[in-house]
Amino acid sequence: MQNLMNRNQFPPLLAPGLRHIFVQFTDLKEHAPQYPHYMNEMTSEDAYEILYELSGTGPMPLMPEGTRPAADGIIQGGTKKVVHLQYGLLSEATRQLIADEKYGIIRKMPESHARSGLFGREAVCCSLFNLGTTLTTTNGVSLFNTAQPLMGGAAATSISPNISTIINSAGTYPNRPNPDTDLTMTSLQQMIVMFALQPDDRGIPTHVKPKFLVHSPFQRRNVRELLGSPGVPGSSNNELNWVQAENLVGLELNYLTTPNGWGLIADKSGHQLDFFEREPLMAQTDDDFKTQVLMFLSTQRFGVVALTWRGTAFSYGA
Amino acid sequence: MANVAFADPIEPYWDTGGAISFPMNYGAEEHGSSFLYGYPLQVIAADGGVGIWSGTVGAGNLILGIAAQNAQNLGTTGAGAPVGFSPITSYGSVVGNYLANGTQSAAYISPPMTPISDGYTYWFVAAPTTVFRARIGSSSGGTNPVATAITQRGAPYGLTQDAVNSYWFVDTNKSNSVTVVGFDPLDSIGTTGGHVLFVFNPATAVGDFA
Repeated sequence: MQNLMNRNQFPPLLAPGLRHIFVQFTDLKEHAPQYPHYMNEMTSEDAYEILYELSGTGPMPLMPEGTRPAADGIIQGGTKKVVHLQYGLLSEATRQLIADEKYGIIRKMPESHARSGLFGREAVCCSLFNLGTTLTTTNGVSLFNTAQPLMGGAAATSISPNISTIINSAGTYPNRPNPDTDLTMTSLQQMIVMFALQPDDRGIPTHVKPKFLVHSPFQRRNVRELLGSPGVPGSSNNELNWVQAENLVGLELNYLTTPNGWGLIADKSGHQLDFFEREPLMAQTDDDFKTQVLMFLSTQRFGVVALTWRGTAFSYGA
Repeated sequence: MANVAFADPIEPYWDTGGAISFPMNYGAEEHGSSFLYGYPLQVIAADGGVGIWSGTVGAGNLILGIAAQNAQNLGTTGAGAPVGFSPITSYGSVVGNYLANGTQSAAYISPPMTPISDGYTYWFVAAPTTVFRARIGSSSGGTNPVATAITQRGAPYGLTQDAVNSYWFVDTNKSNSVTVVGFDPLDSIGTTGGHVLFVFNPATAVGDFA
């Protein structure tokens, strides 16, 4: 870490004559923000936000003539308390370096901080996938789990049609293959079916449709073949590539840390991966009066949370 | 002599380096901790969590600093601490959570207005440049306040926990961990249990392991 920058560290900047300086924080093209593609962005004015989940009522049963109806209410799920965390970066340069430096590089520190700040946002948002076996949602288990406990318990999975071969245990529904699989036509088909049969927590089927196929650059070829080939990739049987009709869009994330991980997420209205902007990236500069060191400080504060596993599914690769 | 409650939280008073703030640090809080703001802290060797100082001076029990917040009684050491670039990995608070329903055994309701918990505890570093303030007393024959006196300046003393209210005070009955460097001007010299200013002896404290 290069904290205090002084003239001794950058002697070429002190003399004229450099034809070109390749400055990575300005000359290397930065990725456009990726998290806005898949995070629901909101603002906050509080230290934290509390999110809550409630079920609906169960299916309406027969009410024979002259008998009282069955009664049912909704069930509360858990809450998620999203504490907005502060991120910050300080760079310090001596006033002599600022004054003597001929190319105006050091005074552009806030531009470098902007890249650093964006990385922080992207990495934290992407941690929902990277740490999806650790981070929990309102039901208390990990975001991606082979057995998401339903509020309706075993009654929900016994009522919901056609899911007996999908679930791994009564009263739960998966949003992660068991075991994890690499991305193939077969595993993609299974995850799409897992999505399509997803009931609510009382066992009533829901209309939830995947929109994005999330993947790392390692899977670029694989994804383009699966989503773009007119026929089933790797097959000589002239089968129609049925996946095209799903209208999935590949979402390549540069901040995934799992090379073979892949998953499906619904459009923003179909999932609850939330980003709360508490304080935007702010650049400040100040002098230390005694030492004459110029300080560049950039801070931001935000919260990231997965309220529920709904509308998401992920596999970490075989 | 019966014990008398007189101690109060130890606090940083000023920084001899001229900075306007005190160096702080943070670390995973030891599970089950119940220390309060103003308690001396150390690393618990068994798991690396930060908990209350044992009172023993020397290697293996070096003082990190003075707690800047109350302990959170975490279920596991560092519960909920962010993992690299991640959100807080637990409920965000550990007080008052109650089970949400009967079918999701790990789903909890976190009430509002309970303290935020990020799995860390924070402390004022026992740095050589930070001068702390505490009441002065003695552990001789119970824990009781003693009067401040100008002869205490420069004297080596220790730290002891008040037997009644559990805060820590500068103990004239010990000579192994702190040195008095002055007196709080709000307490006139001669005040029984008055506040003295002190620094940690280098051999007693970690200083700053950041």
